[in-house]
Amino acid sequence: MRVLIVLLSLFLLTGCWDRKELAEIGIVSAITIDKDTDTNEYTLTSEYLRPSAQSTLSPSPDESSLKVSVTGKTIDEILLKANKTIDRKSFYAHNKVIVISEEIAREGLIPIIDSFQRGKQVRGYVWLAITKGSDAKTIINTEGNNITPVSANFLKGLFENADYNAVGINMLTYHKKVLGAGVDPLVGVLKREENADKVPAELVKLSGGAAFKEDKLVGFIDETEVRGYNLVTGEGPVTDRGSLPLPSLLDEDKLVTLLLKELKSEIKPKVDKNGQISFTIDIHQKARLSGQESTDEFKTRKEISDYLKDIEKEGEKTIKKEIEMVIDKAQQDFQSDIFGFGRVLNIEQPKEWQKVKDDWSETFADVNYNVKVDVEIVDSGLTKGPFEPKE
Amino acid sequence: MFRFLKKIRSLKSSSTNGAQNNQANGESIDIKLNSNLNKLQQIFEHSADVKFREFEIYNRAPVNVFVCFIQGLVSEEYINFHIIKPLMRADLFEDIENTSSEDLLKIIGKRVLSSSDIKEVQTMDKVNEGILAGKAIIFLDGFRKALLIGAHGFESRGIEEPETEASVRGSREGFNEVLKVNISLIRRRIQNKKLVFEDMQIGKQTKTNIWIGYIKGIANPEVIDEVRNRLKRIDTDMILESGYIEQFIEDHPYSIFPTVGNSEKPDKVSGKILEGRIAIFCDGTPFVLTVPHLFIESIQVPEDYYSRPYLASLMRLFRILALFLTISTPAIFVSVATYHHEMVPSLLLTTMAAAEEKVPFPAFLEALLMIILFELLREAGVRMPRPVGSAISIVGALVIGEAAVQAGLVSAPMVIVVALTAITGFIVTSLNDAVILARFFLLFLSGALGFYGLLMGTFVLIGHVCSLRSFGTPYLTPMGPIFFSEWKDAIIRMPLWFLKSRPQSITWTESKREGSENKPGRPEGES
Repeated sequence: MRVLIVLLSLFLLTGCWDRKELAEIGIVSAITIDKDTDTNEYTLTSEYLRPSAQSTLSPSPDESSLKVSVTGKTIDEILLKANKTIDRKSFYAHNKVIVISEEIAREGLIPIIDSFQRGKQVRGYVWLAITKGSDAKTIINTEGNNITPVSANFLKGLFENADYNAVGINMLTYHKKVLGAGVDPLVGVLKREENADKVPAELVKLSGGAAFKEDKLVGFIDETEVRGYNLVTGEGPVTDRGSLPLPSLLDEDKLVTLLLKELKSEIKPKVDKNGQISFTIDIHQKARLSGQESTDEFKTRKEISDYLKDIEKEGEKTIKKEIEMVIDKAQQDFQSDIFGFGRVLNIEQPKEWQKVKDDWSETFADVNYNVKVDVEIVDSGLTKGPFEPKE
Repeated sequence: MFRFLKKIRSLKSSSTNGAQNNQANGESIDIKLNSNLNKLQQIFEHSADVKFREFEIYNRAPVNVFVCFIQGLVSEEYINFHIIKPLMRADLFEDIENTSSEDLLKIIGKRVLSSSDIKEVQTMDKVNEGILAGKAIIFLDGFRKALLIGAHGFESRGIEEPETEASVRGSREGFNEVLKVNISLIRRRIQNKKLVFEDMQIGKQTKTNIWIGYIKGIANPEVIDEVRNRLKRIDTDMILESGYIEQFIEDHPYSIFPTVGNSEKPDKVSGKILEGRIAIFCDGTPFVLTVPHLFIESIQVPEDYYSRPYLASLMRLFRILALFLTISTPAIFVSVATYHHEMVPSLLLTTMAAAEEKVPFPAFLEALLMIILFELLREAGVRMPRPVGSAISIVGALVIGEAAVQAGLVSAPMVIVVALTAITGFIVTSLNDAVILARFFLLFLSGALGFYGLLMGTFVLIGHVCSLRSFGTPYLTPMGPIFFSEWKDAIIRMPLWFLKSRPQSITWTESKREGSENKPGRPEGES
């Protein structure tokens, strides 16, 4: 009997406390955070999905999402406050994007991320982005180039399509990089562009990256530099890593395009006798000749192979330049080791790392590096030489 | 209080037993025909279907004779032409020399009646039994014996395809309600002198014939003994169906899982007997019991062995999947919809939420409602008279379907969930009662505790199944205690030439059923 009572109380007295019917929750799909510098208060603008508008049976004509701003002193406070402003309980597990304004990023992201990571209401696999030149909330209020009606899905699509010249980083990776030694995060940047000549006139774009030093934003890098960054770290898509237009070498003003395929990149630390640290970046990039503007024809196979070798050299030169540009920028402008040189050193030569780890950002700023690029054209298409119009 | 009642009950039962025993010790047959006739007429006083036919036969002097039988149980034509007619033709006796009146009964049995089943009986008790079992009895004046003649001739259903176990490939025969026919169906398949059928009668009032069938040398003698003992222990008024026996002999009467198998297919029962199982045939039902019955048998069907092994194995996997789905789909859905919203993809969650938006009930109640509705419909489908069948299916489609969704009573995903539950429920039918109860059990748990409850319930169920035994064999064999050799024919079925030994978990000994060179292939030397 006693056992029965215990068992019954197990079932009858527990449970249900976290029961939430689907019709009671407000599914948050995107969060943007701005800060009012005068009052020192955060404004959190959330996008709530309106399921009835997405019903497959009979969609209601309402807008498919609801955007609500709530202001408060801390993020946690706002997350609780948000429930009072809408008729549902906010549910953050399906949140896809967190957009944070530049001002907050310059002050440091750890206080913000902490609220999300500690309670685990928001998942680690949520995309993290910094706005450049605009409020964070305008990002989800701009409807220029969305195909999906929900701006969170649109932003998620941007991150998933991010290739060679954009950074997509999720909160978990950011957290890891911030807390990890010898590496600083590079976060994706969402930019709102207005141009009356273009269609659409206003749009949101994922471009370039925001370099952090520890958890503080130190500067932005542009799209070309991001490609350099991706080449060094091997991040970005596995294949189809963007295209590289190069001078054709055959005709003036004509271009040839290399489609960058699989990449193998390696950072090798080297410490010489004087304790001087240097890094070698070894890159092997497979490419495909995907377009040729000039119309010359080759006579022999040797000519073709010689030509391809020349193009390879040309590509190597360009890639090397791009990489040097971004590393120089990171060293001189940011003193931020976004490539994880320190981490590599830590892994390969832990003793050396122990010596320099305390002032790594200064050491990183004037460390020597050497870039070795090897471009290999594995495929020049099925076309036999370029097309030449016959008279 | 309870003990007191028990005492009274036991007292009562012993007293009735005593009374019966007194009767059973019964008197022997009287020498006078009339007194026998009177006695029988007295015994069957109000039974209009017991017929007495008096006539004379001539053996130098006329001898009074009567035949007694129950109308409907015996073939009257048979009695007319094979009993009464030859007896009345007195001239038959003329060429028999030195026929003394003492030999008359023997001679009738030996030379006059052309029946294959003739027995002499001496007590009235045996006479009663014989008459009730559907035999005809002949009394001769001046004899303390009577002749019991088998003249069965009752109506029975033909051998039809069983409705509960249809098959695409394989025998279409099914057992019917007549024990003799059922036994013959097995004998025809196993022509082996070691195939044994033991008979016994159970039921104080019904005296139902029960036969135990097994193959000597394959079935384990201890299990046979156990079956015999359990059957003998049954002390009840009636056995109307083999289900009565099942409930009196099963190992775990409180478990929702069946530990005695049943089938109406002779090929299936033959297969089980050949694996070393014991079949229990019960007169009056096409359902034959087989023991020991294991969990794995629920996902095995005879067709697995008749078709080639590849699809058969896949189908077994699907049956397990179906079993899992039919038990837990509503529970999983309810957990996800009320506790674990983060576990479904966002897009699915929004569609689910959109559907749930217009439904007034919590997901748990909705699921419960729909499952109960479905069970009601199923029950109606089974019970209803056939002519109104179409009405049920039309209304049924409305109740759990589009109309219910449009009425705003349930959400469309819930209809899918219940439909899936229902469809998969029809795949593993032999576990049906356990499955339906387990489904409710898990639904309640997950409605209260989410996945935590679902997991806890699953543990309870699995733990319970692990604790079961059926006639000495653990219920989850060959997975429970692992018998690797039997995995060849458990979740998947290996080719027949792979299954070289009989299931050790059933026979308790290692024994071969195949030679070692059974693998088919091209003839040697062919390139």
